[in-house]
Amino acid sequence: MIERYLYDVVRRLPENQRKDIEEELRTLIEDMLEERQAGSREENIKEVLSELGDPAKLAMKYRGEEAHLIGGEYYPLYCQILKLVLICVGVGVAISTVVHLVVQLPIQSGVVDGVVDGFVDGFLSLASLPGALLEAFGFVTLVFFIMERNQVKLQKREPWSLDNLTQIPHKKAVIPKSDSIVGVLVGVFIMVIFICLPECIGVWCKNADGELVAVSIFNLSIWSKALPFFIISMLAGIVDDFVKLIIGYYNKTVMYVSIACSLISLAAMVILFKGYEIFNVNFVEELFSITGETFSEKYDILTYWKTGIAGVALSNFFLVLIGAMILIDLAVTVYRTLRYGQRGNER
Amino acid sequence: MGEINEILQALTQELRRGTIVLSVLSQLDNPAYGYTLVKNMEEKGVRVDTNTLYPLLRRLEKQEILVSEWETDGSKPRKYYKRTAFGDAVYESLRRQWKEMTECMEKMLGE
Repeated sequence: MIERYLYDVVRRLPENQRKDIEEELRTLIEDMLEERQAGSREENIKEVLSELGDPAKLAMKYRGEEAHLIGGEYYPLYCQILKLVLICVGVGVAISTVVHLVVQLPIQSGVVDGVVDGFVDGFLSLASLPGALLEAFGFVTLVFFIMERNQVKLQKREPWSLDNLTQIPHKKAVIPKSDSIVGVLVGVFIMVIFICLPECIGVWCKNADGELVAVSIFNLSIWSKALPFFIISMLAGIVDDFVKLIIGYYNKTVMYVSIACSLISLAAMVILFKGYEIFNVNFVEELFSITGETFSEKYDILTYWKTGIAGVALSNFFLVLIGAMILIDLAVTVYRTLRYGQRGNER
Repeated sequence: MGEINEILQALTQELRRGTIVLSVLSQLDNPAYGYTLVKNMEEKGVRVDTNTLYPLLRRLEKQEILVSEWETDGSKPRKYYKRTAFGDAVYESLRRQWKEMTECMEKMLGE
């Protein structure tokens, strides 16, 4: 029984200390046994070992401070980095999934098979997400573990002084996390829809056979050419929101990133709407040929569409709408930064 | 009532933990091995758990405050510990600290 106890302690200890500690403990146990003259040896052994207690705890005491993976000094930084890396990997995989889909999807076909294939591909790529996250988690942990073991000094931290305490951002300069997160998610969602299912954005109606089909309001034949500009614009918005999420309050960095992203986004939108005929000019004809009905009397807008001017007008309308949204958002950022964000930048 | 006992126990343990190193160092002018140390200290009214003392001795050795030597002459091999010169210096300073501290504590508690 003594041997089993000793083994149970020592197996939890570093190889090079095992023999020494084992010897020491064996002598100790013998000493403690000698003291107990009364009672059977069997009983005494049980008593002595119970007194020494849980082998795991004893081994832990021997290991001392080594008994953790990442120590207190590194832990806050570890959590911070881990969070960032996991978010980045998550978003990265999501974006790469989307890009992957763009390359794969037979965009012009509009055939249901293509869409289904696209979805299957998408889900397959998304299935790699947990693995990627785990990998990132493991890698970050490993790096910190090595740092911990070698007691790497993170950086020469200047001794703290009252002057370089972190500034408290002005209440109105704080960017709510929920805003940024919703921004990122909505951006990704719209992007995925526009990339994977442009043919489904439109009017759904029953054809002569009673099947439900969609007539897209977009001009699918130039979709693959126009799509990159759309993606650039959405990505710029996502990057902007992402930076806001990480920094958390308006300051100069956020403002410059916001200005750059807004300009890129705006430029891409202009090219998209002015450079391409992105709306489906034949929308009404297609609708007509499927349903066999004529709408001209009932729906003025559709009649208008037929004239062909509608495409340009719609483009302009959306360009102005989206442009205004981007500019208003930018204006808010710049205003808040200049008005309230300065304190965060003072030295 | 059980709660107060629990809290007291934890606090007392904390107090005692702070004194263990000093009391062990005080007993190692001459080489001694773990179990006699436990017994000696017990005689003087200081209870130390064996399973705390043994790892502690090793830790102090790692910090070069103690040195150890195996003695295999007797019936059982025994590991003897004693203070190093460095350990003497540490012990002296700690002792002074302790004196100062107890004086202050006495003053405060006597008020």
